[in-house]
Amino acid sequence: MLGSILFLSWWVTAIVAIGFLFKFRAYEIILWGIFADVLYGASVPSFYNIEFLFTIGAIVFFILSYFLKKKLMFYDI
Amino acid sequence: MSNYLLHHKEKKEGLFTKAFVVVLLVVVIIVVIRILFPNTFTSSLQSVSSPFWKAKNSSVEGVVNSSQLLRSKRSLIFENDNLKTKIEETEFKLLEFNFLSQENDSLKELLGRKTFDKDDAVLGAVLARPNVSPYDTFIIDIGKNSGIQKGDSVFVQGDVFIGKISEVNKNTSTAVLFSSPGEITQVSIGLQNISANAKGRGGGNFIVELPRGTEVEKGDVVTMPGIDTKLFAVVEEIEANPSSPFTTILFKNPVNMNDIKWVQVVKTP
Repeated sequence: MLGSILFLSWWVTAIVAIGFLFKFRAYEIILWGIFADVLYGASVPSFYNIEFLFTIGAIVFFILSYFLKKKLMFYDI
Repeated sequence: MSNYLLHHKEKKEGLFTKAFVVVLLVVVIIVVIRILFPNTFTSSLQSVSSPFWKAKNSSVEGVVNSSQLLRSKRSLIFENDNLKTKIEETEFKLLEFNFLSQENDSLKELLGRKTFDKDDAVLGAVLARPNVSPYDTFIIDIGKNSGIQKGDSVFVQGDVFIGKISEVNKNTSTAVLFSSPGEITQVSIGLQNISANAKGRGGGNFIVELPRGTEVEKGDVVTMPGIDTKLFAVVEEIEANPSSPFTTILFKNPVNMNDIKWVQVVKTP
């Protein structure tokens, strides 16, 4: 994740994070989110000047994955 | 098999487990600290990340350079000839450009208008480029130690104005590009200096809507209004819909944001 945040495009990082969420119960995704925001964050008008996009995204995806995993047969062994 | 599954069955846990609450608490603390003291974490994180970015940039450069060695001699000779011809043409144009530029500067000085002084610029190496974050930001290796301040202007290749410094740390700075999504910048289009508000679309791209029939052509130069003509972008695409009273003009910075190695930061007077 660290390498992805530092060197790769943000959308690659997002895909890796989603992958982690579906494989594990990856709480650390949220911490990586805040790491990326602290590193790159800037106030941008299109995002309502919110500087915590990665963090918000990580929390939303974490919660979504929790509910989605409950619905999926794959996780219900 | 069934015993294995029973043995390894995941414990059903609620969403708000101890770990999740702790993580949320840490995030809230960091967010509050960042809002109250914006540079606290950014400065140290960027300092720690700098060596990694520098190592990546130099290794990428090494790979690109060594891949050039594998090209065939014929293609190199062909390219060399083409480039020589282009250099001759460009040198001739440059002579004329330099003459006109000097004449322009001296006329402005004669009329008591100080022009943008490139000697005031501080050169900075790009550590992280816009594509790594959706915010469209650059991280450069100069900061307070080089006298950089928030709001300073960022140029590439001398004359292309690309953004402003948004955050300054001890050894690094963050520059937000004019092309950041939603960022509005006032520009002049073409030789007729048509005033418009350019809206950023990320990665050095912009969009403008003008009334249908406005004379804008592909390749027109877009500049920043003011006494110093600062190159901003070049018109790439014009989309006219017969049912709409507006023409959509798409333009982009003349340099590729992902290839920039150096930027010049000019202190705001």
